[in-house]
Amino acid sequence: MSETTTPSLAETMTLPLELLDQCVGKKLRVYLRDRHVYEGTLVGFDDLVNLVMDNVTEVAGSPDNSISDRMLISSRTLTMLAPL
Amino acid sequence: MPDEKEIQQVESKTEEVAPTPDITATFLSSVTGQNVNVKLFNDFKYTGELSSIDGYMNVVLQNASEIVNGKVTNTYEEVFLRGNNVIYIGKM
Repeated sequence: MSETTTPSLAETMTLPLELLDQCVGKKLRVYLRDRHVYEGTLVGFDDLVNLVMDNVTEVAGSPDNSISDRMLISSRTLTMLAPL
Repeated sequence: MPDEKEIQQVESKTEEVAPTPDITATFLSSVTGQNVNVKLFNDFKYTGELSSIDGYMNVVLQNASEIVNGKVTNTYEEVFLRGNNVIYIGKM
C-alpha cells in the first residue's frame, strides 16, 4: 500500500549464473567432490556450469602438475567456485 | 534524461544475463582431431588424438595411452571413454 517505489526483488537480486558471468576472465579455484581442486582463468561456462578454463593447474587431489592451456572441466561433481 | 540512462543500463544488464554463447561446445569442436588429456574420476588419465566427442562428453581417442600414477600402463589404438567418468578434457 506504500507509495514509495522500492526496487523489486528481481531488480536487486544477482542471479547465480550472472555472478559467475562476472568472473569470466578472472582466476578461479574450482572445488570438485573428492578433494579435486583446480585453479585457472575462467573463459566461459554453459547452462550446466561445465567450465572452460585457461592455464589450469591441479592444486589438490592427485596433482600431476600438468598445466593445460585450455581445458573443459565437467560439472558433474562441481561443488564450489571461489575467485582468487 | 537520467531515466533514459537507467533504462539503458537495465537493458544492458539483461543482455549480460545471456550466457556466453556455448563456449563449451565451441571448445569441444575446436579440440577434435587434436591431442588431448582426458582425466577420469578413477584417477586414470588418457592422452591421445580426440577423434570424436558428444554432448555427454563421451570421448573416442585414437592411439591413446593410459596413464596411472604418472606411468603409462597401457596403449590403445582406439578407446571409448564414457562421459560420466570424465573430470576434464584438456588441450595438450
